Amino acid sequence: MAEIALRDVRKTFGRGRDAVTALDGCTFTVPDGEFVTLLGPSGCGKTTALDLVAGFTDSTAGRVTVGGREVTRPGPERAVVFQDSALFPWLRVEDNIAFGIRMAGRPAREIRERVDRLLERVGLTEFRRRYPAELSGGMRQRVSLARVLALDSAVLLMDEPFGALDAQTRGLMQEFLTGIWERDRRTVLFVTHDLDEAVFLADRVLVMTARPGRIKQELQVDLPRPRAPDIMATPRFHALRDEIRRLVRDEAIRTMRPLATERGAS
Amino acid sequence: MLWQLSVSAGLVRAELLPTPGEVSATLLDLVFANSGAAGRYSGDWPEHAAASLIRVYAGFALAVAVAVPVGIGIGSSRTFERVVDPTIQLLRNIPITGFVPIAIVLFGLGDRPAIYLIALAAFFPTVVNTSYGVRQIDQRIVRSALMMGAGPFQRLVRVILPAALPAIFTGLRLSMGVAWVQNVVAEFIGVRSGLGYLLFDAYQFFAPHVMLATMFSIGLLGFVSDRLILLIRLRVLAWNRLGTLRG
Repeated sequence: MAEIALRDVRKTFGRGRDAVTALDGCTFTVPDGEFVTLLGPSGCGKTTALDLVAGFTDSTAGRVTVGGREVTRPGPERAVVFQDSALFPWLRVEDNIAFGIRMAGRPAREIRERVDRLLERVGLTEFRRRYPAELSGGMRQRVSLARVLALDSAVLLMDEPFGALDAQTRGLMQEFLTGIWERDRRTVLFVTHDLDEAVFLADRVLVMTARPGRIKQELQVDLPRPRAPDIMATPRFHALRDEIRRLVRDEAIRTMRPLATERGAS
Repeated sequence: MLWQLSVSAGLVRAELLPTPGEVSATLLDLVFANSGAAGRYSGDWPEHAAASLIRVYAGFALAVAVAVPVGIGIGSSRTFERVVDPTIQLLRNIPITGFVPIAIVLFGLGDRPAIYLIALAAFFPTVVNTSYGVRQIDQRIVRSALMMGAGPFQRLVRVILPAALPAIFTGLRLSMGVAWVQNVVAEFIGVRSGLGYLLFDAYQFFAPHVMLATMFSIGLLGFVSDRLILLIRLRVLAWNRLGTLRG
């Protein structure tokens, strides 16, 4: 079981007058084996929520649990894919993918076999000897995906992993990720600000409020699986996306309000 | 060219500034004892060069062995930085020549104070660059290692060290240059061998052609040492080729 649960979580950065509260009263659950996207206006604390689940930071108040156990530090049972791949530039593609398995101290033969399989799965076998700097953005994110799939984690955390890619590549990567996920159904928490992406990938979409962030609304995505890009042309997809767009728009306006009143005053 | 012309045209007195031709003949004779152009110094170079090389490389090795761990400490720990960094920044501003008397008092004459002075001078560029190299590591890279289950030792060896290596190499190159400069200063006093000693001796006995030939040879050895580090860098940092803004 690898259910992610946040209970009444608050996270404040800094102290005194400079203190910023990123999350307040943030409660949500990602059921075991579900793909959940976390959506919200920029600066609403999406990434902070993900960092808490990853164990990169501690909450100021409230509980963060994965599989019933309190999260205290990062670990391979909670794999993370970062925006703008955080690969090791001094390692070749194959060694980047092998890093986590090596840390786990697996025998050399097993490492080789698993790396071979993963390279094939992400379609980068012929690029195995390249360095990250020699790859395109889309290829680098496929390596990032392969290196976390190698960990065989129960939980996958993704922080706008396709945000830095061009629209074309992003579409292909979403399709690719869906394909992978539909095969082994891990628990995924996927942070994004792209509406289409949020609906296309998810079983469930969580919409966050403006800062301090908490969950404004939760929507079930009842689109059939397996999903292909043409699902984005269906009326049901449009209905869901438009509903979410309204919710996010309200929050985005709230973050802009200081700006609007300033303009009104002058 | 300018040098040869100004001597030939009599702008500078020939007995004060020998021509490049004379100097190269002197250097060849210093090394191979083939023409007698270096006079009583003929064939002395290999012995002095060996003495200098040993001091420079010993001092350099000692400096690097201390500077890299200390630099990593400063770069990765706030507390360590607060304690150690001010001391280093203070010492860094004292000209190394100022340490000569204390080195002699502590270590007497001979190789040891020379190596100590070289090591002291070579320490600073590497420690400063290493700590910078560690500090500028992308936080997400360290987080990646944490998330994949790397422990403290594995993070140090497999992540922090390789990530800081380009900056460390910059430090090594600067340190090597400083080591050669400091070696000459160290050899002016307290030792009876080395290229610095040869240079100083030739000055006292007024042999400008030998002085210039020796100076040139020191420059050459420094240059070769730098190339050696670059060569190692090329090997070790295949992923990080030195480029310029124009590629």
